Amino acid sequence: MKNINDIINILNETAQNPKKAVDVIIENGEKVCGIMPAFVPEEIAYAAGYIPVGIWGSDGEIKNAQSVMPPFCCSIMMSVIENQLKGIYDVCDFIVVSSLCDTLKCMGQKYKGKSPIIQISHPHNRSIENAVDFAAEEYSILREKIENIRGSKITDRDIFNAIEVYNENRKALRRFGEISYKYSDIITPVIRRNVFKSGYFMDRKNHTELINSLCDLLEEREAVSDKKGVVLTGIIADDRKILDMLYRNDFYVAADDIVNESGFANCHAPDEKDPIIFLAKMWTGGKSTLFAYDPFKKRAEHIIDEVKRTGAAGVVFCYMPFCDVDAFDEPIIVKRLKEENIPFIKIDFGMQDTNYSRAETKIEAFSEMLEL
Amino acid sequence: MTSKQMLKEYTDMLFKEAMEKKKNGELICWSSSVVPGELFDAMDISVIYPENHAAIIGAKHYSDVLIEHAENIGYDNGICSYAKINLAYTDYILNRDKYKTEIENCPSPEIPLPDIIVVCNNICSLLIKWYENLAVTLNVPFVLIDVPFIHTGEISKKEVGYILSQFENIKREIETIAGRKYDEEKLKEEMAQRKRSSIAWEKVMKLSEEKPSALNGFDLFNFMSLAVCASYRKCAEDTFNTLYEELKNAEETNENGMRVFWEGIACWPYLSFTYKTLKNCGFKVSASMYPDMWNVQYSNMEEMAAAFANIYTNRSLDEKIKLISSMGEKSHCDAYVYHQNRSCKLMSFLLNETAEGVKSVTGKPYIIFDGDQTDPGNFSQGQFETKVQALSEMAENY
Repeated sequence: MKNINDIINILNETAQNPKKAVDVIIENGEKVCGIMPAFVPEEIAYAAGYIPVGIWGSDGEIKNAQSVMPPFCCSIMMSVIENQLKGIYDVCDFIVVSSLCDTLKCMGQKYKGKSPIIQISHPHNRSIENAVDFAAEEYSILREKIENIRGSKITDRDIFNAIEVYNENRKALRRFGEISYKYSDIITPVIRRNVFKSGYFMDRKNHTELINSLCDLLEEREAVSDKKGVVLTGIIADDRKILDMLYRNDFYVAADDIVNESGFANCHAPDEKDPIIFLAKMWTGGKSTLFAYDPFKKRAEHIIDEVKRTGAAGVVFCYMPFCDVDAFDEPIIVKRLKEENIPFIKIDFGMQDTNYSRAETKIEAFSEMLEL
Repeated sequence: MTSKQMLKEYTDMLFKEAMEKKKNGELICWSSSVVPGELFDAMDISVIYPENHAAIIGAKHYSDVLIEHAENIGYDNGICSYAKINLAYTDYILNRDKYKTEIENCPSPEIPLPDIIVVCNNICSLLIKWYENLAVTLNVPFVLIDVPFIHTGEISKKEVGYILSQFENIKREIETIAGRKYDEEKLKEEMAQRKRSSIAWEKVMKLSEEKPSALNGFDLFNFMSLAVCASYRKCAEDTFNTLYEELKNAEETNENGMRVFWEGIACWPYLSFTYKTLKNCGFKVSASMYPDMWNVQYSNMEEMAAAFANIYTNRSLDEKIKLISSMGEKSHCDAYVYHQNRSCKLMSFLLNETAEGVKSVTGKPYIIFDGDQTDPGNFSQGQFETKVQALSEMAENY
């Protein structure tokens, strides 16, 4: 049996060296496909025998992407274009992208790597009955396109098995999310991120085993509460330097409302006889409000609920520059947090050109303010 | 009346009518610009189009004041300038006493606050987020006509079925807010009127296919306001028919210069500057996909669903290239001008690919310039002038 440090080391290594992790998968004879944001039913690709790999950009200088993408593009997609130009994603047999925002609509049309790209549209009006039918038809087309690439049919049983693997993984991640904040001496913000992020670069079955073992071992320990908890909200919170700053300033992550962290883990659906309907309902019945039509701005209420549930001291708005979702939600969230007397800070989580000294000053000031 | 007089009279009438209705306690709807507004108008709910209102403010050089106010109330500099103008304007109206001077100085007609709002995301997804903020701020119901992005090929039954079911839900929502049964007969009449208005609008646009032609694309930008706001009313049809007759019978139709295709939204604060710069370099704007977005023709609800999903901004890159090339060639365009619009990601992020794709079909030169639909700070007169001069040289040597 591995100890906590062994497990954390594997998760850290995978999350912090995704290219190496993907190379190992390929060396072991597995095929990989790329999954761009967001809420793509990657279970279908897994059922077809591919290991889905998350494509959410990476740190690093943008050298060539700005020649093909205007500067007011969000840094996730700017980074994806940069990596595409370098050929980094060419190891994928195919790539799937959603159309949930204007940038993603364009990305599905713009991507010019060697791997074929498959675009899907999600229904935004999730509560109407036909939304399930529409999503199911889109997902069926995705299934057919993957079958054509693979050269053989994907059976319903294979998809059900994949759904089971992903359900177990999401369950394990939810369990981790619910308990990890009690062990802030071990689960630093960076390690917490790595727990979620590593799942995008390994077989979800193996990931589940690691997460469940980690949770078992954590639960054997005494809970600690020597730091201040914060709830993170945003599209992505993948900047290690900023997460380290939070830890240095005595913060732990109490909970998150981040698309590729809890946004992934919180997807679930009722049992269905048809696996495609099951996946469609995972979106239409989903609770995540990021990217989805949210006429009552439940995102703000969800953040407030998470603060109350975990007793967090405040909220960190992990802002993605040039992301319309964050830009429009921000004033409403800020207003609601003020009304509830919940302290918050906004930190830019762009993947390039982040002003770290400014971020550090803000985090230090936030920490001091909370201590007062 | 001339078409210009009709345009002014009817535009003023629509704003006045909405203010009167609000005073009388009748219902007002705010709507995104490419929406079947007759769904609301048929139930005597006056429809106001904030994008149109923002464009007027931009064209009358007051947008910078509202954009600054939007940023002061927490909106990021990077969002759509139409949204900023409208959200700032909403804040002014909600705090009328505090912003009395700003409202008085605003050169656009005043618009009443809505009782219901509607978005069709066929022109962009950002609209959903913008109107969510309005719904929460104004505490009004928000109905969404979700038109899925047609990422591959043609629209199919699955999109039509999904959109159709939303229309039925919207009718029920309108019945609830209006407190009476939906008026299907009036809706049919207004749909028929929209078709007649769109045919008249199309007839005007098709004048660009004649050579010589008295039509200038900037005329289309000016008259577009009625196409946006009143296609389901007779005044739009009458105005477009009058405009058509005027252009068809114009005495001066000599054309010595070159024709250019304008792709993207106009730079409203610089409408005159862009027009003159093009003219000085020997260009006349002859065609644009933008005004064509309001050429929406249908005879029943199913066709309505398909028509609003088929808007070119909601189509794949390949389809866009086909549509632009076809319109450009039919209009005998010698060159193409692409507006990289800081406010509009959907109309900007594929410009390189679109421009190259169209060039591979037509062989004609192009430029891409940086601008914005209503934020004057994101447009450089010098850059536009230089690029248009370069385009002129390229087109002449073609």
